[in-house]
Amino acid sequence: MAYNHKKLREEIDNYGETVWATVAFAHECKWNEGAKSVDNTVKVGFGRPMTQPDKKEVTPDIVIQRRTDQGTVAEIKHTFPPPSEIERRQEIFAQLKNYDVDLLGWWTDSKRIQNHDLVLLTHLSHVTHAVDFLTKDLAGVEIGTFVRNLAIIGYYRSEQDQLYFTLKKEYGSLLDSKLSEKLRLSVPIAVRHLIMKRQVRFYDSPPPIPYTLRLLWEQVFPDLAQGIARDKKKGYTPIPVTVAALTQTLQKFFGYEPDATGNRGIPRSEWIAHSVKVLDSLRMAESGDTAGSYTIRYKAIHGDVLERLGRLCYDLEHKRSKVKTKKSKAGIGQESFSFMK
Amino acid sequence: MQDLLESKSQTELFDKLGRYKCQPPLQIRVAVVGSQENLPALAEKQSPFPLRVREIGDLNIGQFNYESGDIRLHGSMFFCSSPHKSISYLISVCSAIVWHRSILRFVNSLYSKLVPVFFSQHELFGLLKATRGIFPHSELTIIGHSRKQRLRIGSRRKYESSRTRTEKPLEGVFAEADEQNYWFSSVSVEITRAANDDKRLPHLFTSATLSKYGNFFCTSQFDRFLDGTIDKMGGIAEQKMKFFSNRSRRSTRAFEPRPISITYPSPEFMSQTDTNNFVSIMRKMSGASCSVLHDNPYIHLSVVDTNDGSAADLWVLKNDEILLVPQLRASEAALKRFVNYIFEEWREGSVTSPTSSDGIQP
Repeated sequence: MAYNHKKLREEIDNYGETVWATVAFAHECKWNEGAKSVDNTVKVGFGRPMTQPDKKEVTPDIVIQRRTDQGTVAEIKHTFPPPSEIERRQEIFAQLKNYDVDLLGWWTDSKRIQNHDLVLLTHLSHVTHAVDFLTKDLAGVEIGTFVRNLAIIGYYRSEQDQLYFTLKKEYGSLLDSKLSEKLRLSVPIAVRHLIMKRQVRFYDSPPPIPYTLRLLWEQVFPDLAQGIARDKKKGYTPIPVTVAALTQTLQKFFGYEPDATGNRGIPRSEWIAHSVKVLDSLRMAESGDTAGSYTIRYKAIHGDVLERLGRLCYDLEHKRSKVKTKKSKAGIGQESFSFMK
Repeated sequence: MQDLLESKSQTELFDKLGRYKCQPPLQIRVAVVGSQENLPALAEKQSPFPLRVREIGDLNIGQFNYESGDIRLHGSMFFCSSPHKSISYLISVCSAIVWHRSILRFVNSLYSKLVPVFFSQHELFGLLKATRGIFPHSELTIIGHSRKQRLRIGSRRKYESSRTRTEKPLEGVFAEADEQNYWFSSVSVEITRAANDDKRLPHLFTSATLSKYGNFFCTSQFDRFLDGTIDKMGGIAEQKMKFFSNRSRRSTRAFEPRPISITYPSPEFMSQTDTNNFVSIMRKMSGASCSVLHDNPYIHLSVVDTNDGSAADLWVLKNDEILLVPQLRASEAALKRFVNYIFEEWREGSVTSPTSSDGIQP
């Protein structure tokens, strides 16, 4: 099968839209309607680890503490699975059910909070399926019965005089009745506003590998290459990097930095380690003497960098799956390494 | 020429140039360039051909003499400071061949440490009007221009370009360009003075050429052009340098972006065809890579200057605005080049900084 760039672009588009949903929802929860400004006393954590009463750790996509006695735990699923995938549908609500307990890990002295509500964010085209599944299929079932308030919010892009990103609550309610009503009526946010303030490109889920590689190749490596002489013989600029430093840079400029309050930071270093390994396999980097250290063989890519990297990743995956098939035929085990989601 | 090389200071050089009258093919040629670095030092290090730079007082003179293909190119260039902090004048009295094959080659090779200047059609018009103002009791006539007109998308050639010899008043030529939707890459003028009696033809006082890429040529009257035209070019260049500088996300508080907005008085993106055309233009930008992240219905591109690694995200979220969001590395040279490319290949608009009030109008 030939490389399908359109498919990669769709995947990236979905990922990007999900990122906007997390940013828009957090922004809305931080918005002070009276003062018409962002309330920085509202705490937000993306992929923040929380502890259940049985000490089990859970990591909701978004944790928001609007007041010292009121919080929100949100999970985001861009696509709600089709009716044929009942198990996957059930998993989503089971996951939300895990948050329907007295969670530990809030920004309070006791790490506890008096009450919190639950939110499922999904694309507007899937929201009715999610609501129907909860209210019909899961009616009376344990994973469909929540002690805490549960709201299902849809999001979508729309064009009027400019591009907007809209949040609209389609089911349930939130503890904050004003916010709940506002979301019921729908909240359009100008995308211009979302992209001018910060440049968040990640949420608590790994993106397709070419997405991260493009960010590194187009925006991080050229910056790191300054002051390093190009190796004329080899035809590239050797840039020494470490996974830790790259993760830190991406978190600082395109995600969220870890902090002392318990936020782990996004993107995660595992995703970046995986991405750099792919560069190593593509001979665009070579591993160094110490773990996590590499030398990037940097040279400018002309044309569409995303397409080029997408194609290279696809070819690599394709080659590996061929080898895997041959080896499995010959009875030799091979660890699977899939990076093309 | 030797006389100019013996100048002991910039003031002395300018005095001598003020009295200098060139005979074809020679002209006094000036490149208005921006740089935050020590230009003579940079020149000696990075010149694409052997260049000897010597310092005499506040003046730096670069001399070259080398073979290029079948011809020997030799000449000199004067590195002169301007009243504007980050703007310098590169001056040479030379022929068009030396100018193109040596001086401009030199300027291009120092990109992005040496920031080229681009003027919009509106700015070019203003500069020519200012030039007319420095010669009272005289008449400024357009005697020629190089113009470009964008051809329809999909054509093998991007432009229809032509060099026209004419004899028309300034306003008429620019009104015609506006009507027919073409822009000038350079405009040549003649300054004439009326004869004392009606029987004689007006006599030619001087002539000059001004290009949208920050170059100025004249045959004489350098001192008057310096005050009236070149310094004004420097002023605009300085203003632009200031506008485009410090936009890297590394230099901002909390790494926030400092976007650049190009707005149009009427909608530019009304259909998917407009969007496709614009994306196709951006993909063809030389010395840059362009990744298409989204192109329907809104546009999101990532543009990277392959010369210096500067990157910016380009968004079209409204039908009358292009938003450039500079990223980690964003030199003023690259940002200026991106904007100028959009102006030349798509359409000129108003450039503003939507997060602050330091807007400039083209």
